[in-house]
Amino acid sequence: MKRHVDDEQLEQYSMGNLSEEELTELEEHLLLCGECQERLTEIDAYTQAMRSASTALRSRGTARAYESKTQALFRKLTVPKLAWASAVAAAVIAVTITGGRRDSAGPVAVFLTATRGAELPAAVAPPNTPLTLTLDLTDIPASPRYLVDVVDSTGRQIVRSEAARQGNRLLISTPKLPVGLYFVRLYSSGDLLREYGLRIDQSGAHERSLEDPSL
Amino acid sequence: MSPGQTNPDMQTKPSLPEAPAETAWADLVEKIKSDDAAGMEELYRVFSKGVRFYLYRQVGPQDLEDKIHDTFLIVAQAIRRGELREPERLMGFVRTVVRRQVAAQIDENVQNRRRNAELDSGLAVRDVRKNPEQDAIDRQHHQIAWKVLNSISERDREVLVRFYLREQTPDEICEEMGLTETQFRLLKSRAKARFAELGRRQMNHSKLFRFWREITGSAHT
Repeated sequence: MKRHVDDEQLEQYSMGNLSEEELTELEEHLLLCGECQERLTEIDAYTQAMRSASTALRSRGTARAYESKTQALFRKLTVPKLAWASAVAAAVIAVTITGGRRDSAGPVAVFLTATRGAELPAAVAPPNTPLTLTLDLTDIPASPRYLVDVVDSTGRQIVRSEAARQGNRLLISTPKLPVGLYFVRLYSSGDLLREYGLRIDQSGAHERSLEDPSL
Repeated sequence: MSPGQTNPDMQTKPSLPEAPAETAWADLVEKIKSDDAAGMEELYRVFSKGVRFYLYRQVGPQDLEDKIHDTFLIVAQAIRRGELREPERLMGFVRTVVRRQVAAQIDENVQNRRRNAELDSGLAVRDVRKNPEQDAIDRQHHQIAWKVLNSISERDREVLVRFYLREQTPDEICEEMGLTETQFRLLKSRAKARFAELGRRQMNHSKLFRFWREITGSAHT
């Protein structure tokens, strides 16, 4: 490839959407072209920012939808004359506020990219909430099925599941996980192909980093 | 890269200038084969930036210099052993070696974590934060992207969320949202331009703030 790569193609590369043939040509060009390397760095930053902001928007949307549902439930339950109905409604709200908030709103979506070097997980998710993990399969050889293990920081297996590839992604669900560090390992035919990191954090870093742009 | 350094013209360029002319691979390979020091120098000069870029992007800064050095060593040794039969494939060969290095590094990280976990789970736990500068840059990027997404219509936002988060293809998005390909490209490039513009503004604010701090700081001394 003698010509520079256009931004559209660099964006596709950044998002892991190129075929093996396209990858070869582009990566060989990148090895030699400083200008395209710089543009890719910018595009990487842009796509990551758009992805994290989109996740935050969706997260906020889910929370809002859940809040309006809760309010509707509260209104319904306070209309009956029986006093205990109000008490039940109050209890429901209390449970919601103390941590069950996302359970009824469905699992939280978390996008995982490969763990790099000594870095620990960049992906953060809230504790005690079912998760839908999206694994980035860029550069991973095609296979009809993949085996995915979720292990804790001591290497103890927490979840094992099998899933099929969807484009350059693989989706798996996890049950509620307590606070801690986790590693998600991707296997095919017994070979370890990639490892992803995930941090379950109670401090609210997930909420802050995703939802509050003023921080 | 800070947001202010974002390329202000990130739209797709219909006609891009030619990349630097390709090196005469056969000459280079011949020099390395014959142990000519100039050959290794040239190999480093041509590939070191690209190899560094690729390795850093895939596996991060850990042992980066060692890995770069190993890559060149492997390439040079293979050439001397006559394993590169077609010199014009040198670029592809370097890429293959770099990719193997990346795969080996990932495997090593996994093994290290396992070993550390067996010894003492505490050993595997390091500081989870990135360096503060990178952290601040990422946060700025997130804020700007958030502003961009909130400054456009719900429909346009839906298009971008479908593309960047749900990773739907442009064809799927256009079909499901009744857009032409041109409309889709325009929407995307406008969002990028807005991102770059807000990044520049933020950069200027930061510069002004630093300037103000320097002035007030020097006034106190």
